[in-house]
Amino acid sequence: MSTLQIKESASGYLGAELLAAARAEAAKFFGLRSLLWLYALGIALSIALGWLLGASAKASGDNGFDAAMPAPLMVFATLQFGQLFFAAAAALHITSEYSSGTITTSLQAVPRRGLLLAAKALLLSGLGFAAGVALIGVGTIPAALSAGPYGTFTFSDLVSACLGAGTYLALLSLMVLGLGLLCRNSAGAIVSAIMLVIGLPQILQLIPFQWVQTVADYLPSNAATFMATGATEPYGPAAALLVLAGWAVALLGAGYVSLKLRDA
Amino acid sequence: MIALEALSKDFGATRAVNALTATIERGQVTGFLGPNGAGKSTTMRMILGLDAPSSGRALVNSVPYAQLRYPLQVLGAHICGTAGHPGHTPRTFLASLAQSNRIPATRVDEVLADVGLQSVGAQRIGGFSLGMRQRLGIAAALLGDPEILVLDEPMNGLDAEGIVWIRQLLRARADRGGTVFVSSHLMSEVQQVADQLILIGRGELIAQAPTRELIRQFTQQVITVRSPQLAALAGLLQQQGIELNTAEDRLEVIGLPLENIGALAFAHGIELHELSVAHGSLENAYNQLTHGMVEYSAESARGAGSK
Repeated sequence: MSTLQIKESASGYLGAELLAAARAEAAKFFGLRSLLWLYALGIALSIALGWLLGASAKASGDNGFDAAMPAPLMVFATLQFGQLFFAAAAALHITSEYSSGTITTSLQAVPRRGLLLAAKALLLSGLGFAAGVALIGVGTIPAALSAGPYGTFTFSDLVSACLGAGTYLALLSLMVLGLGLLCRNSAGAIVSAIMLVIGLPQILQLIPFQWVQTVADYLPSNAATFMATGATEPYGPAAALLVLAGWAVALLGAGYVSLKLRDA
Repeated sequence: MIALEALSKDFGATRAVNALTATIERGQVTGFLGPNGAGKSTTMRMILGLDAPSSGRALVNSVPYAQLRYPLQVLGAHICGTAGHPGHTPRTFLASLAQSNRIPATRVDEVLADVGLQSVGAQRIGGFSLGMRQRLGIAAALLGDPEILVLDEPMNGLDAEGIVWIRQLLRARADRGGTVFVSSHLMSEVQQVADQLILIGRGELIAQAPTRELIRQFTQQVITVRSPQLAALAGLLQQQGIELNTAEDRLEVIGLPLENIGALAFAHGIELHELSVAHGSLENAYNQLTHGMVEYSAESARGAGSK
């Protein structure tokens, strides 16, 4: 009897349970002003910096320097800073459960840890993707206006920047979710996320060995740039997507093992 | 129904729970009693699958908790100090739990009213007192209208009225056929409501028995008498219908004050070599563990019993 129920729940009802758990995660996320603020500030920062980059490109261009760049890519470039807001939101979504003790309630409601993690991953990657698309879509307008002739872009520039930013923020959120599960501590998760996306690329730049530079090319923030700009060197957008997905799978996988094996 | 089967938990070199075997039955309030650090919370966390047992297992309706589908509809629990995120409102907190377990959203306001928090449903939990958090935790436990309730020290931080309220709540759930498992470190908190008590100390089971039975053992005095004329004294006591155990060299008399035995022996010229009182072995065991924490409760029960 009970074995039968378990078998059924393992196959047919899993989707329903995942959806229910993901909706609960969304209710928790949208119920916290701090997380909404982080998202709002992240999007606002990209829009404002995109406008600034556009104005700067125009000033440089007017003075004879070649600073032209498709406006959507200017907005994408602002993610170098803006990504931290989304990373912090992803970190806090999980670590605040540990600091407030609500992880016990969450696991009472959804005791299968893989299911709980899948629900969180679904929510955070969905929000990250939506934020990435939105900030490029909206931010391109002020950036294009301020850049004038130096920010002209094609529709396909816009689409690839939107998809690139969305995919990057989705996968970054998953990486940080994994870090949060490993650290179980807000400060630790946020500092390690900053090190991963900003610290490490800059530190590696200082090391004058070619192989170190090659390694640096595979860090998430660099892979994101190759993906959104449609680079061909050192690798193209498809490979860049694989690199980012690899980081997300590795860190989220490590987080899952930590969630599965450690007491809550 | 909850079954603990040789449940053990080690934290490093410390054994927090040691081979605990017990059954928590339907239709009863089962009190889980033990001093602070006895392993009550750890045991409850293992029932909920939050902590993995080092050995043994805990079953809820014959399956591990993690195999329950929409578990909040089967078992509602409140583990001490874990009611919601300070930035959430009670409504958000309860609504997210309801969504995760497909519980109708209307239950949120129902349970808020049940625990008396309807007026603060939209305020942030961060500003709540300990008592309000306890009530919120209990609301979360009741949300899925589960058959089984597991509450860790639910009376902590509640005022006198709150304690009466929770006793009535536990009683009503058990009378409806529910399984109610409630921990406390104070005998006085649970003895009025629990039908059954599970006593643990240092992670080990001391006793599992009906509350009435345990209280009798707690408050019972055993008088040890040594005398060269033991048989004569035993005869006198038996004539009065006094309960006794006879050993080779002594008598153990239950239910008669020390003074009366002394007077009886004196009146009949019986020589006594020892006349001493010992409290019930259970009380001694528990007192050693609690450092007298339970003394007041045992004293008052004894006083009430002799009147």
